[in-house]
Amino acid sequence: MAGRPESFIAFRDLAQLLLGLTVLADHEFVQLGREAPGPDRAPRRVLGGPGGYPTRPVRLRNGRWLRVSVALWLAETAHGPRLKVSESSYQYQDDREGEREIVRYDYLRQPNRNEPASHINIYGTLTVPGVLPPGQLLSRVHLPAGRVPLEAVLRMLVDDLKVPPATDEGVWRPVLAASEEMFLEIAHRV
Amino acid sequence: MPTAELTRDEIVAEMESVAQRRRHLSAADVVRAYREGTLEDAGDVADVIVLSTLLSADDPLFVEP
Repeated sequence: MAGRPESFIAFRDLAQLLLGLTVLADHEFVQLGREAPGPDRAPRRVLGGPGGYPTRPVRLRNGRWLRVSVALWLAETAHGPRLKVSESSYQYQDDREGEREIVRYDYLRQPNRNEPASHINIYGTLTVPGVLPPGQLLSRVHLPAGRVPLEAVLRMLVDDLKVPPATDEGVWRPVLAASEEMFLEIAHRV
Repeated sequence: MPTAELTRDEIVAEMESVAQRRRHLSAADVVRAYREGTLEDAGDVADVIVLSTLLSADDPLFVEP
């Protein structure tokens, strides 16, 4: 993605398109928070739910919720300014308040030193007893993962967790695939 | 699609509310521990961390008491 100030808007519009074609309830929107200078004076914005708050989830078509929290900044690189993600978190949850989490994908650049920067937390139980130490919850296991794009999360919600999509499979699936391909190309670029 | 113009006070109030509710910590303590790499289960408050990126480095929230 290009590194102009309007790149923030383009990022939001792409996220809204992907969500709107798949799991997002009608009349729901992801929003950008205000632009602010970061520690290095680079412009920063966040993508979140209502009010531009990354703490507030958007409602899905099955009545559950997705918390979309993305920190964006325009970085100066050898190739000119580029839009970067410093932190992102996508959490599927059963309630608006997030008291009943289901699964969360995190990408945190400064995690606890014992936790992988990109990881998955699953709020469930193992069917095999004795795997976890006594008192340890599965949700506190940080399953290492590559950096998971929003597209993959949306595909999982539709394919595996059966959130009813807003459009036919012939529409949403190729759009997710094309967008994900671009993400992977950019995210893995040195 | 709208863009929200959050004020600094709105950002801090939201961070405090969520940090207290989930971790019984102040927003400053959550962000400080995250930056030091000592915050366990940081993803639980990843949204607070994301919101903190909108504050300037010299924001009073980050100034040691």
